[in-house]
Amino acid sequence: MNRANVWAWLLQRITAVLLLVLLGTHFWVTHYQNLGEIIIFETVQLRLKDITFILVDAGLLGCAIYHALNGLRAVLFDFTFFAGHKRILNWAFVLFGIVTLIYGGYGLFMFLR
Amino acid sequence: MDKASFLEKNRAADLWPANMKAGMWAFLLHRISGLVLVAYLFLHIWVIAHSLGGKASFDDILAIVQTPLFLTLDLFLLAAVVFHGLNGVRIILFDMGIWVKHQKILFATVFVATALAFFFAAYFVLPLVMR
Repeated sequence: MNRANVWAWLLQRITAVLLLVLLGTHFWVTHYQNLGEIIIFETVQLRLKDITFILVDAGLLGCAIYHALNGLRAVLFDFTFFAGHKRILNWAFVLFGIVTLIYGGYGLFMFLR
Repeated sequence: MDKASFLEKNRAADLWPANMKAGMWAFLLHRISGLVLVAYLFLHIWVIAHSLGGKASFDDILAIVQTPLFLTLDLFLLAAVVFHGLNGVRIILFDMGIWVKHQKILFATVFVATALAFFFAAYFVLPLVMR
């Protein structure tokens, strides 16, 4: 296992713990507290007036994208077919992650204007 | 034919449930729930990013994902999240060398907690599905 893999493994654990906290908060506030209320644009806008929830949602976006893509990478690399193309797949994952982060971040920003 | 040569001839037999122990089920379910959550995450980002198309675009798609069909699917999503999250805690504990000996009972605990969370959520969500 090389150095990059150790960091990827450790980050997977760190984001896992962060996700437990962030996702718990996100779920509780967004979906449990106002159970049965139909969510519309203004609902989200109102919630995101509070800086705490901007941080929760932005942190969630980053942690979830990393954790999901690194997890998917681990699953794929267990198949010899994909394990033969590690280098190109690693770059594809990084690129896809950055694009999704910008796309999702911009989507979040729309509620803050 | 003895077991070893049977397994040698039928390599996939290793994956047959009869040969699976608790840890193998935990591993497999962790991966399956993980893949489900990856698919959900990117769909979720796509749905929420409809905000880029303005308020009407966002409200339209949000109305679709709050129909009874999607609320029902949300219950299974919750089960996948709870299982993956709790089993993830189990994995981290083992990484730190904690309770490794009790891995089977921990797996059972994760499984039962997931079922409880599913029924607890169903109790709240089903009235919304029926309304």
